[in-house]
Amino acid sequence: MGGRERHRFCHRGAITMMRRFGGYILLLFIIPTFLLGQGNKNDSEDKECGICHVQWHSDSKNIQSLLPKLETSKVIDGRAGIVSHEQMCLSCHDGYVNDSREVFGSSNHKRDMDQTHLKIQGLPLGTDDQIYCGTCHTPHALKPNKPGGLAPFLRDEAVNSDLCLSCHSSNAKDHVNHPIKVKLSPGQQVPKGGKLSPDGTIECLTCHPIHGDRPVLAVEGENRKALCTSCHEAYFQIELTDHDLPAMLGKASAPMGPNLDGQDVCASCHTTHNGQGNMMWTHELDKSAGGNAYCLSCHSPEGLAPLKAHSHAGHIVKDFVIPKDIPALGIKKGDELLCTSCHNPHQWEYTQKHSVGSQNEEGTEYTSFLKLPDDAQGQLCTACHTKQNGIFDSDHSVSREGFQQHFKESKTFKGQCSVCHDTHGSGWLESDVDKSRMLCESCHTGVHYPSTVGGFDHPMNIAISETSTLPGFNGEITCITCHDPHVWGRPHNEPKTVDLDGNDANSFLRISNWPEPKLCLDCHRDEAEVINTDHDLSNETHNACSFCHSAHNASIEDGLVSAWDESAGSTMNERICFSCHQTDGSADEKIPGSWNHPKEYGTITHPVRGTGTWKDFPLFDIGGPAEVVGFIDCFTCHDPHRWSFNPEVTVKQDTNEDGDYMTSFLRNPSYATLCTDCHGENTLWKFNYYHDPVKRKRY
Amino acid sequence: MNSLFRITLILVCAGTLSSAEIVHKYQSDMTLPTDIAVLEDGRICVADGVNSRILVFDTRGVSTELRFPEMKRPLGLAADANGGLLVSDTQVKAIFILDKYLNLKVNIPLEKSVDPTDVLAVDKHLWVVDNEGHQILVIDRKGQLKQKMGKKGSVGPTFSYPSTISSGKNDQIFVCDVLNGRLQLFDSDYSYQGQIAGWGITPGYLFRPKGVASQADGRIAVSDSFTGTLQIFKSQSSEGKMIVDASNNPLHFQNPVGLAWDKSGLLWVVESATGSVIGVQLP
Repeated sequence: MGGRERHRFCHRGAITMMRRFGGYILLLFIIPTFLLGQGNKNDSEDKECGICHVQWHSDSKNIQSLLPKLETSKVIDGRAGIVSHEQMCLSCHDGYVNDSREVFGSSNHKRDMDQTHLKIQGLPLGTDDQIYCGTCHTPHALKPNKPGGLAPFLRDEAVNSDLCLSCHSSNAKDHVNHPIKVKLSPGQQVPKGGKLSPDGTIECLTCHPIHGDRPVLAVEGENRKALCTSCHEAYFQIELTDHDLPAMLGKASAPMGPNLDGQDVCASCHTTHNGQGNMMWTHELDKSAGGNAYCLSCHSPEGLAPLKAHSHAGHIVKDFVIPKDIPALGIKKGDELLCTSCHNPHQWEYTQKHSVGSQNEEGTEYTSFLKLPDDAQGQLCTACHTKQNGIFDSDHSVSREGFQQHFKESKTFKGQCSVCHDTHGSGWLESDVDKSRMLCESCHTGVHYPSTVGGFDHPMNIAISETSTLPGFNGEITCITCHDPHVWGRPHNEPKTVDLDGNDANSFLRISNWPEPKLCLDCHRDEAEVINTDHDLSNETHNACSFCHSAHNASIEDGLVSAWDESAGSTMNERICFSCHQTDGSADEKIPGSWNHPKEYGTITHPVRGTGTWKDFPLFDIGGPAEVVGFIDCFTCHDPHRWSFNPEVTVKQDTNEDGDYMTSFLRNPSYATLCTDCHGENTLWKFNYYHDPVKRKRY
Repeated sequence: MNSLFRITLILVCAGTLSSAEIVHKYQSDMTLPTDIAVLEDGRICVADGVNSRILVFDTRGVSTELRFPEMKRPLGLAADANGGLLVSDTQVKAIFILDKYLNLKVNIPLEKSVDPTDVLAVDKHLWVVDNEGHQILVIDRKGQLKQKMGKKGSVGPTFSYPSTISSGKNDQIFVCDVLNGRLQLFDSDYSYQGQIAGWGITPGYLFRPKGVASQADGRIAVSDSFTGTLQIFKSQSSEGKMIVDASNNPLHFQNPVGLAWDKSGLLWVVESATGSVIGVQLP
């Protein structure tokens, strides 16, 4: 017979008798006493209720009564209600009718405990407002077969913590308390000795024993690990990390922070009931910090982790809504970007394999509570910054020899992203120094990579064209104006395991520069007319610009000209032009018969004359442009980017058009030159037959 | 016989013993212990089932702890004839036989429906109190059932939650019948011999009899856990006598349960509520 049956047996008969026979019941008490002997008294019906209601026994007022004088909180019919005294309960529940000894030997919910901090609703209390067994239990009220009535004759249904919350309502407030009325997640288990509500949800009894000496199940003292691991085992990767405050603070050289000695690691940050914020936080929160307030409660100059205080520089961590799902980081579209977007405060190393060997270990790209490592694949950053993940196959991969050599020499190690980016400290955007250029030049100094940067390079620190959308530093050209260091560009079957030799299709160029030189023309729009002219020498690797120009490592600063034949001519112009326009050159069909204007007759430039710009009639000296006085050279008459000075005359497609006085890359018509200064009316003849060694001398 | 006469008779007959004296009180952090047994060498064993152990007190009152993996919740104890100890375990549903060195020798599993609150060695057999079954089981030392006695009830050889068992003079066996407030009496041939006392709250009656211990001289001590008193019965026909103090007031205990006599005639009482074992010197 179970407990329910026992009580049913005890009470059913008496209640039925009282209802059916009313006053006759008195006779049932009296008759046996009058008529029966000692043994017959045992059969008396008054025993049915008197099993507990001993004061209803006919001898209860007898001077020989052995009833103990108990201090009881209840008064029934003007007499001390010892029926509700725990000694009456214990008289059966001591193991010899039912064994509930843990209850009576426990300190939880014991009689006369202090309950002044509670708001007890709908449950009876003693005369001094103290709790007693009958506060929660009654053998009369709840039918054992009632849903939730399996509990040991509780006064109310113990379903979904309802009975508990009659007193402990403050411990059920959402968010600041451990949740109840929610189902366990896969892999979570009910703590040993705990139970779920009939609907399978967490309730108070899942963690708390009603009776016993422990406030929570499975736990000795204040260390709740044995309890919390039932559901939150994965979080215990936090043990012995810098976030294990009971361990950390206990080893501090001087007392600091709260006294967590002997407590579980969860107590570092969480309190199960009446904490702060959704995370049941133990520390004071600055609510203005939003979802990062939990981290900042320690990671601030005044917090427990001042050496790791958040500087509010670097990667943004607030006021940004993540626009898409990031499964690798457990982020859902619409989540706010927070510290915990990248960090898992419970797990020092993402692989969960890390065994912390010593306290206060400095973090790396593989540890530091990162959800994913910043390894050679930059897993953490590229989970969101997907457009940058092409860097792994480029020369900017940290796996390449250059970086590896650098790490070896500097005895440091960096991940793919952290090798350039300082997530929490750089403050690039706010700096008045071009840090991105400094970063590029920290490697591309000409010492490490002489093949890529050095000699004459495209000028920087000049204003970017107003029509351009390219980025710069304070509106001026810098490295990232033309280059995106994360995107190598279009491959040309280059091997990916050796250093790549770039071309116009890749080379980390921000805009495609092949086959059309879109990047160059974004600023140099006037030179776009060279496209499709005979000077458009673009091929499988070069665009129309790069055959002559090189943005880096150019041999001559003016024009950044790259293709040279040092022996082809005596002036800069000649060396440029004759590199093609010579025998066996690519333009050997257009070798001028005569070209050299007498250099001894100096001409004053337009700017000096005050009549225009140098480009109207460029003059040169041996090494390059002449600003004041110079001689006439190739580019004085020819603009190699423009087939005709007349905008209406365009190059004919698909023909090898022969030039004339209107085309032939002439910069100006003859009348717009300075030739008349010397040649007067012979100018036209001289102009038209400049390259004819015979006719040019006729006049 | 009218009621007044009946009550008067009870008061007259329900006499008291000369004063008893508490001579020992041992404590060892027990949680509502239950039964007690005195071994042949004088050591006292107390069942501390909540803590899954038996405490063994030597003659100086110094305790040692007895545990073994098979034992989870010892509730009933009895001295075995060979100087050993019998243990009934209500969680494991088993009887353990320990030798005089208190080493486990035999583990007798019982049916899962059996709630063995006490055990007694009678000749070669073991009498097991089945509390929830409201019966007495007699088994041999291999666990073979030999006899069943009793059923749920209040008249005749029936029980309402029998608790402890003891044997006495002339091979009489006494069983505490808790909710019937009486001792049930059997002989070693399993014959029902009647009852002692009855349900009541005055001397000579019992409200929650829990412990029984009988002496060879015929004295039968019974504890009442609710009234906190001890009574001595000498035979089935005699009225109980309260054990009283020097002031002639009933000697009072807090939830007295298991009882046992030692060879010196000292009555040992398990005071469950205080976790104590108390030696009472009777006159």
